[in-house]
Amino acid sequence: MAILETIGVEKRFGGLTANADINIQIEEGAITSIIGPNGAGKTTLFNILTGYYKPDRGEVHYLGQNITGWPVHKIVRKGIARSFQVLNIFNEIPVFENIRLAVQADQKKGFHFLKSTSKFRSINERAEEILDEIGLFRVKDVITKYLSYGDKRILEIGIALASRPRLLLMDEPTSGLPSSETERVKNFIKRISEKMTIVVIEHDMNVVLTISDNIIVLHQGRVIAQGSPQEIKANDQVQEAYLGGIV
Amino acid sequence: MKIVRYMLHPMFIIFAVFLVAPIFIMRVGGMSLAIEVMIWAIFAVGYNILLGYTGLPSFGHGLFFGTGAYLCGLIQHHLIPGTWISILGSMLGCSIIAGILGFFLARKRGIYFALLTIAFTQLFFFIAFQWDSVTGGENGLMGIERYPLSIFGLFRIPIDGVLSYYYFVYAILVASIVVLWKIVHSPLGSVLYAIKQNEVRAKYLGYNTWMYKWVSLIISGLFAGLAGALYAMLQHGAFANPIHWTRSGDVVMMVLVGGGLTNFFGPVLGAAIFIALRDIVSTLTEHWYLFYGLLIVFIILFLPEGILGYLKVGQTSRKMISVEEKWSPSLSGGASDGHP
Repeated sequence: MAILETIGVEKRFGGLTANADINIQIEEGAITSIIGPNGAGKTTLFNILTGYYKPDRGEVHYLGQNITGWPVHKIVRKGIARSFQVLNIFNEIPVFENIRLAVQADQKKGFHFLKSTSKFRSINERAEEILDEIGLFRVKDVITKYLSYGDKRILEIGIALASRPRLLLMDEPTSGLPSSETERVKNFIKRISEKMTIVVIEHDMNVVLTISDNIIVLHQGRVIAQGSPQEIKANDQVQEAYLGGIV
Repeated sequence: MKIVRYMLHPMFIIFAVFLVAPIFIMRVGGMSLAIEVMIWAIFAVGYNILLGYTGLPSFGHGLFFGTGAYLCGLIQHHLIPGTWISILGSMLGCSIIAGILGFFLARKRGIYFALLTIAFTQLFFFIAFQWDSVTGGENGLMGIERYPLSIFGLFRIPIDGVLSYYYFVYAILVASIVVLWKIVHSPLGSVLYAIKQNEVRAKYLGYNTWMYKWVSLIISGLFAGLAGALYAMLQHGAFANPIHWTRSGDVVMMVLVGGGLTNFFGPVLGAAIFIALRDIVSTLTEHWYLFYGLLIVFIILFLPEGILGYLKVGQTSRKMISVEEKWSPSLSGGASDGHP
């Protein structure tokens, strides 16, 4: 069953068509990769799926419900979380606070205003659990901006996980990482995919071909192919447009 | 050991200083200035929830301070003459106005937010200045009294004397600072500070950031209204002046001078410096704002975290700037504006 489905989604910025006639279905429980050259409209599609942009045309359905035009926070609460290509974390506060804020949102305690955050035990315990799971417990009190780049990328994903998503969208989780760290993130994605559906935008074909159940290829705002890794590898159009015969 | 730590806490020091200050001030005169400092401190610490913790630069908060003063007078003249009722009425009125204006303001950010606050405060200024029959126009709304406090109808405490009014304002200052401190360290405060750092990510955590910014406006409006009412009772009148946008900037500068943008107690020091300079320098020259302006230029250039920030006093756990910041390279690359 498809957990997420788009019907004829289109998005224009002035004269540029970033997404045109996108019809995709994301299968529940699988890892789906979205690939395509720079400017193919991959991040724009994530922005539409999560409500950051409203599509000019078309609809987004999540678990059978039309969520087109919903605000971001409402979509997140429905169970779609997202990590970002450019690091998007809270830099001025400790690592622990980043996760704690996410858990606090998940437990809907944000409007409590007279009790200290330290008194919300279930939030703090859950935040520590998550830090433990993602392997950042040792740096929990470090101000986030002093983290290593690899740890920041993990934290970026950890924040998204803290909202207990059913569907996790990851925008280039290995971007800027050395190959050893890429391996760490790859295994991490594999591990969390047992608990949720994952859609990942990725450039590293090694990662894409080993983790994906399905691949969607975008080119100039359009879906030019979708299928299993084998099918995509064999697809001539994809070879020409994107892979350039590398694989 | 624990007691020593409490006693060195800036909150304790502020409370202690203002508690004993009258002993010295009574000898040299200037009690009403000291009261003014406390009133502006209430205003500025509350305003800092919006500016420092939520990151919304309002240059029009004189609107709420001035309106609070008028509401205090209007309630006394036309509804019930009483101290509590006029103060609570001003707070309620100002939070309602902040809520209404917040519908327009909370969707804006940065320069658009700032310009809109200036536009609103000017609008209110002209209304207050022109509407003679209600506000007294140019002459101000006079005859605002300090009625005796009634505690459950059992005691009546007069506050019309300067010393009794001082301690009345002191009690409200203490209560305000405690409440605002709790807000800053609560889940709500943590979300506001998250919005300041990265609003897009805050949305992606599932926070309805619009609503939080709106609440932040209401909180700051409420404390501005409280301060305005106390100010009206101090001066026995309410005037349009504080609403003008040029005067609305005063509170912004108090926050910046005292502790930059993230120091909880900075605004208290900022208020004291502002009032002291105004009083001392203005006896020497009528261009005292010139000297104040120079001070601000100096602080923004050389002490961007304000005086308390420079002295490393009172940084809350949420901030924890370390000396490392001066040299530690930032690895994050320009991700801070948070656009995906």
